[in-house]
Amino acid sequence: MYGNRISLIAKSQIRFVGILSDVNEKEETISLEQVRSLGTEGRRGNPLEEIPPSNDIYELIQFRAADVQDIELDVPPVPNSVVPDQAASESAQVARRQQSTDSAFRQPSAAGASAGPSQRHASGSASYDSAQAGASQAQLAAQHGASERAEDSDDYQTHNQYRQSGYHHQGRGGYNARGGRGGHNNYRGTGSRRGGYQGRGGYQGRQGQSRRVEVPESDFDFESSNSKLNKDELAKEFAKLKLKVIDNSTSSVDNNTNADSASTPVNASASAASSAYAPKSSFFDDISSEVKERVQVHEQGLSHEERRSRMHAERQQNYETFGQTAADLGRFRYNRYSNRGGGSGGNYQGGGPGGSNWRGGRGGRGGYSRGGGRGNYNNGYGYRNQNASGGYNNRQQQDDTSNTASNNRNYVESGAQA
Amino acid sequence: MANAHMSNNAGDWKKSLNLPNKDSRPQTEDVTATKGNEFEDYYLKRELLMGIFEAGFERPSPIQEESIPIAVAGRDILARAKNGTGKTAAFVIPALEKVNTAVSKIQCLILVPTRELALQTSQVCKNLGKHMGVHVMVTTGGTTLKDDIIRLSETVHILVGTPGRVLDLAGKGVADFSQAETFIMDEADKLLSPEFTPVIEQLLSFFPPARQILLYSATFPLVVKSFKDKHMNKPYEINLMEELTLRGVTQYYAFVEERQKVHCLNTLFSKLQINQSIIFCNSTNRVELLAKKITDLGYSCFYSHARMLQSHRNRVFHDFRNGACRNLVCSDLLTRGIDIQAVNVVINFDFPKNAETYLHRIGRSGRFGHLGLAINLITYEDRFNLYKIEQELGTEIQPIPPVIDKRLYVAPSAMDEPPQQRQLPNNVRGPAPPPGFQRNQQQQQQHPEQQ
Repeated sequence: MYGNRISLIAKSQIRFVGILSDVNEKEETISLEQVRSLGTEGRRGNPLEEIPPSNDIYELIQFRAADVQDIELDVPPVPNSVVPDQAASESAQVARRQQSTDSAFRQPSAAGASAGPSQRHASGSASYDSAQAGASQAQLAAQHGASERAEDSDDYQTHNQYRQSGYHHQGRGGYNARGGRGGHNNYRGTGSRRGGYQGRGGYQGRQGQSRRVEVPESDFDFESSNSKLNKDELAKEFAKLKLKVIDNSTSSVDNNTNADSASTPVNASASAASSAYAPKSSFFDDISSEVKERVQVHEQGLSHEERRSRMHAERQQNYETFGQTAADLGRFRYNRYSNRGGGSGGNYQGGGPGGSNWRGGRGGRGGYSRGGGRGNYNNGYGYRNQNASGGYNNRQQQDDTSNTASNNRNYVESGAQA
Repeated sequence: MANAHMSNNAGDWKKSLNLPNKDSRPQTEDVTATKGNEFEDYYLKRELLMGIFEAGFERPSPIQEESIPIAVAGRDILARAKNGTGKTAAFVIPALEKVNTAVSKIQCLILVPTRELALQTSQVCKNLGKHMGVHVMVTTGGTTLKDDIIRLSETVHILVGTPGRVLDLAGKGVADFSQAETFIMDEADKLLSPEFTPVIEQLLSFFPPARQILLYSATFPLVVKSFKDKHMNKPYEINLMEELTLRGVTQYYAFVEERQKVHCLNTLFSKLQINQSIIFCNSTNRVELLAKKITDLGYSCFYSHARMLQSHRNRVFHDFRNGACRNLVCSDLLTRGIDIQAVNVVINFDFPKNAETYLHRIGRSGRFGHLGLAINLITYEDRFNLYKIEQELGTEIQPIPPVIDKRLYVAPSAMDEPPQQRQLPNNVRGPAPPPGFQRNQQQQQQHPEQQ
């Protein structure tokens, strides 16, 4: 892992690319060498707040775990075309530079959360660009009248993100319930990187901006959407792909088939249909299955990095689909949101308690569901509360260590039997 | 209510039967292409026949016709039939027929891969055997072992369960299979996947050497062959699947971008006449996220996945089956075997990665030869999987048309009902959270300052 090129997104939404030089579990820091800032790349969701990339290379930056929102391996640089309004962004930045030189990295701590970033820089002044990270956010938020954002220090997300990214397993539970930023959805889909998976959806309501995955009132246009997929082309493309695969792994295909002479998926490239299942010649089929997938994975082995990147991919996909990366993260925000709006409360009491959910949904009677108007989403997790006697912190611990017998067992068994 | 075919040789006992209302929905030849056998033809115990008819069975389905007489005769069976064509009764009826209720020993073990399926299958056993005085017990992980041990001190004739727990009980000497003659595996290929096989083989070692083994599934990959060769005695092979997919299920795809999925689903909800739907996601996280979104949109839904408490899973399953809610979001936990007749729409919110999963998922609609719909949201990344699965299953997944003919998936009697209604979330209020919950939340909010 060390020595690899890493792409890291700070909670300030600035992405840094550098070479991993140290991970200090005790102090919960990550150090990168030869670091370049790629700016916010549109993740802030507001052209005025965006920070453009910088060409300066910093020798070493140490990031506090709490400030890291997203981290992944070796990512090719993403062009900053994502920043929607370069001019506006730059002018906003000038203003910011004057305000934020020093307090830079400490800004979020000033906002009250001890988890404020504390990057150390080998070359002092070099910290500047990245420094805007924390500072600018609060300031700009104020400028734009969304004063709430000032105290929206990102700790909440970053904690979680960091935890999820697998670096840090101590169940620190640094949950800042005020947190939650949002505002990125404007750029959804524009770049592959978008600062990933903060799951900000929940706060939209209160900030009056469109941050959640918007569902247009109009009907989805199936026809025009489907016209983008040419299935005939697909066959040709697939044939090419498949030929390549078969070239590479003829041996393993043989292994699969020698057990039963009847099925001959080696010809699969041409006509998979007939060979995957031919009831006249064999009782058994050779369709793709979970087991086969697993065997493949098992043979090739999944490195830690691959696993990580898979996890990351899912989070990214979740963010794409739902504006949120994991329900765990969302639940607190939803609580908050529901409190304020009195809105979507009640109707989602999660699958957990079953029938009562439904009742809640309809008439708000709530039934078994606890938390009704506010914490509905939480209640899907009733079981977690029970297991870990509640609370985010506990749960975190549970996730990370799975140390109680019952949790362990529950999970393992259900996993196996699913 | 009595059927024409029954009145021919009806005895007095038939008049006292308490028959359910007849299901008038049209059925496909997946279940109607029979030889014309009657349940009476198999010389089953009268008490069993009563249970069969009272459960609403009229005539055996094709797989039942093939399986019941052979299984009653005691032969090993390897049976392949499509999803929802009556496999469960095809092995439960012979199992019940062979049970001698005068003997207080476990005489039959029915293994299934998931807990929900265990509940469902044991319920079928109890229903069909309700006049027989047969004792059926269900045992799965996620419940208290002690309760099972206590229960086993009483009479159990048929044990239905998931492999881990059953092995646990057998290993402790609590479940005694020394006189169990019948070893049945439903969704056998799943049970014989590499991680389960050692458990199954250990379990078999508790059975007498002359046990009868019955395997049932809609999919039988080659890995099952080694088990067959090793453990089964000249099994009788039943294969009723000329093709893999159900005739009654119309399959569509909608090509979407990832971020359009929720919108697309919303439109489907407003346009389709969903009696009940099951919506599949590819991860537990996504199940929860989607469930949340759906309720945000104003529709009701349940969700279920493997990381939930078993009691909650059971409750969801039970309530959904009873029609308490129209939509169920779930992971592949409920992909196999789950039989909810009212489900007429399956939506793959995330397209599955392999043909086997796809096949079992879409088999949740179109149960017992009825009509149903499978709608797949396909992203650019899924496009090759779409093609691959079509090819492997020899089926066609068509682009979703602007208007879907209701006759393809709606029961004639329900044709005029409106689509499901949205509930505006604004009107929804729930009770205040209990103290424990409140406290937790406050703690979390304070936490950053305390640090």
